[in-house]
Amino acid sequence: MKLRRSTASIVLVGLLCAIVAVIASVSVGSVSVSIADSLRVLAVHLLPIDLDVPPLPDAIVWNIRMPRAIVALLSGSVLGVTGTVLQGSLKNPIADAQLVGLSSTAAVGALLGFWLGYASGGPTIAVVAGAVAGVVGALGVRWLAARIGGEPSRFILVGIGAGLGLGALVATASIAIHDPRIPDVTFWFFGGLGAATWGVAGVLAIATALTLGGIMPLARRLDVLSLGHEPARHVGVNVATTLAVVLALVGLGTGASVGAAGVIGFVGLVGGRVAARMVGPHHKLAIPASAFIGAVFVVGADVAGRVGARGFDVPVGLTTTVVGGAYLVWLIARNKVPV
Amino acid sequence: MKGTGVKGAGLSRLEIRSLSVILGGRTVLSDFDLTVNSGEFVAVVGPNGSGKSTLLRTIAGDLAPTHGTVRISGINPASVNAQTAAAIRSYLPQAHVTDIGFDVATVVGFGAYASDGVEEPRERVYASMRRVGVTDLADRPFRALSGGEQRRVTIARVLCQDAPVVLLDEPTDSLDLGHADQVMSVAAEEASNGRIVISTSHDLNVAGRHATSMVLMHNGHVVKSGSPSEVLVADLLSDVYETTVTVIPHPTTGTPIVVR
Repeated sequence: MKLRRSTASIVLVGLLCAIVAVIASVSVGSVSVSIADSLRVLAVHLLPIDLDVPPLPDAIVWNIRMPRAIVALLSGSVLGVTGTVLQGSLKNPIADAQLVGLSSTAAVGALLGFWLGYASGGPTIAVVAGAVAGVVGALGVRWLAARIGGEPSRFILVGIGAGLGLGALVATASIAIHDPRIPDVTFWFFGGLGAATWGVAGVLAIATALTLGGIMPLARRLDVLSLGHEPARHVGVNVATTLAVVLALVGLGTGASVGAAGVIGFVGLVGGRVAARMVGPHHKLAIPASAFIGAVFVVGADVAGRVGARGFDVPVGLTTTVVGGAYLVWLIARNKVPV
Repeated sequence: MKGTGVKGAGLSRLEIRSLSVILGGRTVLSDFDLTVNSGEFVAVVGPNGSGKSTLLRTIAGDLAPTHGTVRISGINPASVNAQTAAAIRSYLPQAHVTDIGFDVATVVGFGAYASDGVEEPRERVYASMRRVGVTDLADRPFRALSGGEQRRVTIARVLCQDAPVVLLDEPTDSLDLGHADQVMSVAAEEASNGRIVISTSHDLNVAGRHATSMVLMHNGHVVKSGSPSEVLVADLLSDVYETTVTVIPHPTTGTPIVVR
């Protein structure tokens, strides 16, 4: 599949796919709402027109399903971009935020956010706390890796270690605390969109905009980093600063998504690899492409989960992990990534 | 003349004073002195482990000297930021990075990163590719090239950086006879255009044919420096390389040829 390679065409095609995915998402669920009714609800809220909409579909589509779809869309886009950015800057074809432990460091913050902040602001506090913990975690892992020895593979190994340890810690804490304000263990391993509200979507939208807005201007530098860290420095890239900024931005976006929707696995891996295959290695194309691929992947996984198991809330990360895991095995079996 | 003008031509000067580098407790370079002016092409030769790559890494600013100083036109390359360092020296390290997804012209253009937006790079990219004969590879993915092709493309990237000091660590590594000679003659051209070129080499003959001067190293010391005919001396080389060699004049050019 070849797209005409310009940022504008990627954004156009990506937006169309995302809109279709969101419409599908707000039209499925345990209560059946026709696509026509969903469209009418969206039109009333989004366009300056007046239509007659029954109150039940309006409440379900606009207040419950729409925030869920938007949180899925934003989480997917930010996680997809982390794949492209980490795969490029760490010179590892299967890196993503979860692999390098950033999801788990963010989860620690998000858990604290849920625990401490419920009374003062509900789940939106967890999004902010997750974002802060994501930034701190990314810089912390980088600092640890640099103390051990600065090669990219060290960062990944330190991240894997930190991620597994902190992930277990968060899971244990969520079981031990056993507080209804805190999401259960599933959320910390396979994500969850059940608690998505407009407030959560709004904070996540800000974090996503900051992440993507910060990363896009670094596209050229990320391209040059593909030479390897040392050669990139030889041609004039300040590699240490670039990596710190990139990791902080990736931590910010990942952390916010973990606070909003839990740990959704394999989105970065799939977003980064599929984008590279579709639009090639230039980051100014691959970054927007991976954002849309990640977004459609997560919204699609959520839709598939709800269609496949009516009345039972399949965690979105379960679907992405099954699909992403299979994709990784396929990539390795077909020699698409070096091992 | 765009593309051929040298930044700071005639002004650049490399000064290495009492340089010592100790790595992991081992003295890799010891009390090394060297002064190179614009227009000189210095070939650094010597057996494995004699300190050639460490010397280049130190001049490039990748390693800080344990003692002594390195100055490129008065600037310490280890103390400036990456962009400033890139403007004063280009560097071909010995290590190869092979897995680059970009096409050849883009990879060569990365050499112009430090001066991005200052000049139109496309002309410079193609001029650099022409000089090492890789223009017909322009649209091929870098990772799909052979080892020797990748080496030549990387040399084109180094040329595209357009710096007054050019450091080449084993540029002829994995190149065939003809391409090795081509690369060294491009290095000589760079020097005659007013740059400083410093290249290590294991091929004494190709180095001796093109360099304006040679430095023979052994165990981190300079054994001999001077013109190729002063350095390529049978007794000296036999001693340093611990193998008996003979030096004969080239039948047509008269330059010294080292044979075993």
